[in-house]
Amino acid sequence: MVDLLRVERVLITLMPADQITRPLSPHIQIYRWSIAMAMSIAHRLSGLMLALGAGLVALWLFALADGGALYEAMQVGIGSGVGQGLGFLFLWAASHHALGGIRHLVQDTGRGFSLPAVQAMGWATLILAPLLALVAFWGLTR
Amino acid sequence: MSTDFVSPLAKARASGSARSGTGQFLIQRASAIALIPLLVFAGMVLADIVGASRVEALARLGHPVVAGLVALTMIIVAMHMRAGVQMVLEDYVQTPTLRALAALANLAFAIFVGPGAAVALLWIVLEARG
Repeated sequence: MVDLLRVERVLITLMPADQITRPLSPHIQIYRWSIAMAMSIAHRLSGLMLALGAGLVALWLFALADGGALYEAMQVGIGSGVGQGLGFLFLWAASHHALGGIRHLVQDTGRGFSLPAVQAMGWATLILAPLLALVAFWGLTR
Repeated sequence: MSTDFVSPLAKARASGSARSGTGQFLIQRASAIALIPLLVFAGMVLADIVGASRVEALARLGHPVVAGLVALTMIIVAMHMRAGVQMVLEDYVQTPTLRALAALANLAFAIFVGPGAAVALLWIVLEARG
């Protein structure tokens, strides 16, 4: 039977100080979720997804310029169900990030920091983003 | 008498303020504002192109003004993206060496998305001209 306490003590002496893991206080599991917190995280996540999407757009432009097999393959992919679904999600990420960005720009002027304003902008972003995405999707696939 | 409170050794070690944070913030905000109209335009161009054949796509994008504006959009997207991702890297990558490498990768990706797409569009314009 391995004496875990003794193993732990040996490991602690061998490991560099910053690698020793200590129990952390729960934070995400405990802190009360607010719309502002959720929208901030969503802004960052949507931005990262858009970064990947921008890479795909650049790749598609290269493929279009080249006109070869990659372009054909990408066109098929875009036309497929999965492609259309991903396209809609990309549009949703774009509309969410853009609306959230407007909130940042408004707050840069010093306005919109009161609790009601923050909550209103947060909920407006969350609700308007998919609607805007639907309009854009309809416009693009007409 | 020098009022520089940073010692030469500290400068060599690149410790202290990065001194370029304000610039990054302004790039972020200015590119965001510029992108509002640019993305609407680029979105409309895209709407014309997405389902079309390559010949139609080349006809649309082959016009220098259209290609130029789409290229400008991609470049500004790349600047905005680089600044944003850099913030994420600074938040989540703790090791200095790994963070420096990640920052370089970020720059490489931004060059692909911005100037890269611009080169592809130049290629398209030249091909459309025949």
